[in-house]
Amino acid sequence: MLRYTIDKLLTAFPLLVLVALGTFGLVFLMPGDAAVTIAGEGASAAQIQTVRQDLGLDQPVLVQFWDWFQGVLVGDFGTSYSYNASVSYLITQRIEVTVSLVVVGLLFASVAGTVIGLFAGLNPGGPFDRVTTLLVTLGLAAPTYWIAIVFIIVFSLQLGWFDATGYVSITESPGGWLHSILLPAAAVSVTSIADVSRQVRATASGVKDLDFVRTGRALGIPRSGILVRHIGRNSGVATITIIGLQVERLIGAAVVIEMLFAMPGFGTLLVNAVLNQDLPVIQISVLLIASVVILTNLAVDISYGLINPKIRTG
Amino acid sequence: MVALGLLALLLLVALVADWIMPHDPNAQDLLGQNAPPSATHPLGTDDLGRDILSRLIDGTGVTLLAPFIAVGVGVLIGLPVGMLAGYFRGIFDWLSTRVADALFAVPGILLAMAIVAIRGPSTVNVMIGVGVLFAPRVFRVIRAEVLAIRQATFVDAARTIGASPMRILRNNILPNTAGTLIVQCTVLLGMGVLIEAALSFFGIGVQPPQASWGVVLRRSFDSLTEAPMQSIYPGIAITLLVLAFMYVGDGIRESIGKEHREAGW
Amino acid sequence: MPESDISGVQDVTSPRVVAENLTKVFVTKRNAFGLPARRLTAVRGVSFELRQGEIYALVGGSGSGKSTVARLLTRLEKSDTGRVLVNGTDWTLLRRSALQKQRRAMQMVFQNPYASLDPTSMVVHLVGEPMIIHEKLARRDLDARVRALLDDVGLPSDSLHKYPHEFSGGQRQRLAIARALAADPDVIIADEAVSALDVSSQAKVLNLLLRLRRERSLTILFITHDLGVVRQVADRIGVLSEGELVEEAQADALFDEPTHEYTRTLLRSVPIMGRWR
Repeated sequence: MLRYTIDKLLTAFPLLVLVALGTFGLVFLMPGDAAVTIAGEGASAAQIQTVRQDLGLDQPVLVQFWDWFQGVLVGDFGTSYSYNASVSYLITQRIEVTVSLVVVGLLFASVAGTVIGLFAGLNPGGPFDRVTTLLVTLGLAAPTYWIAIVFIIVFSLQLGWFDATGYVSITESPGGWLHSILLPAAAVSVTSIADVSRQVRATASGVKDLDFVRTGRALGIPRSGILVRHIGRNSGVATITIIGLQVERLIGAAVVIEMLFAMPGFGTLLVNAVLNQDLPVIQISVLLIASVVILTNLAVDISYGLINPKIRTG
Repeated sequence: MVALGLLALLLLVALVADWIMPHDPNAQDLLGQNAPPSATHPLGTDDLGRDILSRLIDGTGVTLLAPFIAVGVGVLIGLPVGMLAGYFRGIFDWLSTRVADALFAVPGILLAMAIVAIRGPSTVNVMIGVGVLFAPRVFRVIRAEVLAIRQATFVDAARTIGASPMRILRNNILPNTAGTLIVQCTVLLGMGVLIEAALSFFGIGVQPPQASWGVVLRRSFDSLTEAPMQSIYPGIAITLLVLAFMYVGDGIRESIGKEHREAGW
Repeated sequence: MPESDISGVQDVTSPRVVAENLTKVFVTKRNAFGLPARRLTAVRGVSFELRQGEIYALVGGSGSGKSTVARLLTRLEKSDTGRVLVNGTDWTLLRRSALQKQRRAMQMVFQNPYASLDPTSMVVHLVGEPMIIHEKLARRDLDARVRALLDDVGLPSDSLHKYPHEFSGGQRQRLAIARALAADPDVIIADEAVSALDVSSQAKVLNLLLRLRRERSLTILFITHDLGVVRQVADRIGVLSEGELVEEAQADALFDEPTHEYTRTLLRSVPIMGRWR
């Protein structure tokens, strides 16, 4: 198990360095003089010179990368030009919204996805399976933000259950937080619920017919008991994989949904940064999110080894 | 078949758009803003009084073209790299796999956004950005497929008649990956539609006055409280288009499965 | 002067193919550092030669390493030791592009004609490819040449634009032979080339090979596990056991007086034909 874990760590580490190199390299893709672009229109020669020195653009590439990378490692993420504030300050201020959305969304996706998938897979071709299959297909095909708009029309404008915009911090009022997060988190998780339930349905309908499940039922063990114990364990690896994959998808969706619900999150910051060509913010955002995704995949890999000992020796 | 028919119909609509639009898609009618559906405006008008149906028809071309550009770029990068990595293995394979993994770790929309941020917003830049993000997906399936095909006896047979590696890649490996590639492309086309719509929502996708369905949907969002139904039509159109790509992909996958069984492969 | 041997082979001094001390070790398991942890010696110090115009049968049970020998000869696999001389050229020393040119001289017919023909290639390209590669043949001259070859191996010459899956197993093996002939080879390696076919197709394909050898004075390395087939066609026989060449003799001599225990075991397992003699 230890060697398996070390092995996985050894593949994750170069990946992180590579992502860091890539995000750093973004600056070289800028057309023309990056310092001029970043300093913005109408910047004076002195300002451009400052930007150039700040970014270290006058230094050799490897030196630039090393300085930048060292800074990143100790949490010095540089300065945003459009906000005129340190990137780490900007991010810590906004991370709560995005984390809330992704965590609640992941919860929705895993619970709703697993339950729907299990019941559909137990009785393939049944009425429940048919209805959910249709909904899953629609959920995978519809644009996330359109689903969110439909949610707003139905639940905010027509029914008046939720506010269409805004975010309440969990430290301010846990109840208010929940109320403000439910609708956007639901919208964020639709595609993921569809994806998870589709996968769980496939594994569940496959496992259902295996001998030990039939034997269990013949012995009179209650259906739900066999379900949870055996199917849960046997389709566990597949389910964890697919749920792990949702993290990347949920982050992408959260960025869009935050804008739509006017929530002061990471996504909003990022979109403004994109519109203002605020490179330091973009670099750190991409690096941060990619690191989260890589570490999630690492955790998924390691949990395989814990669930299914066979994989370790393989 | 229904899906293929729908795609053909949309293509036709895009080609004859100029003749079938009931109104000028950019003609503003400041007295008839956010009008509900009527005989003259079957889907109503937007916040500038422009006919929504005409704008959707006008946007069909870009909406269809954009994902094809993106997939084209993705294939242009991912296919050759995947084939070379899968066939020759070695350090090139190791490196390109790592790069693909790294690109995979960044959510698609973020990567596209980063590229737009750097190159500036324009329809072409956006779709090239999306193409770069598709490349590792094409790379992965092609590499896996080539790893399997290079073990095939017919590749050994090609080597013994003196075929060069490039010739084998072109004549034996490429045709045998075609099925997988086409299926993957339909998946990516659907994704491309969704990503274009999302980027247009931020105003960093297709640039006005050019209309895509994503742009129309974005515009309608601003009038959400006044005319909620406005947002429904473009959304339905996008969903149908994605569904069509999905079903066409499924259809191709099934027919390829049959062929392979017949060929005993 | 070297003496002419009984099968009528003319030139014993310069054999078509010389295999010298071939060894192949496969790594079957690696440790955590990627270093070999378990090895399997598939072929161990195998040497033999193919003389001009003869049919040499390499016989052995499954796992005896006979297919590996074929792959080492054709350089599909690199041997760990020894050399392979074809028409006097050492193939183990050749660079890739030089090897590609040389490969024309030695062609191979594989065991499974369902796997050895690319399902996406049309007959005209399958069979014509060696000519395109080695003769730089123009496309317009291709059709006639391919038709002639198809005719030669007994396939309808109007099948130029068909795909492999439209043919039966025996027909496919004829396609594979036509493709090998298209390279105008001196040597053909037939690796279990008839064992996947039904009995009547086996006989037809064997007769085809025998006729082609006569007409084109081909040298044939016939690799098989089936001594019954060997008896009908081979001039000389080499017996391979656990990667080593344990016995080599003229065909009649080997059947009459096998010297090695493994050969006797093989002979006992041959149904009817071997015993009646």
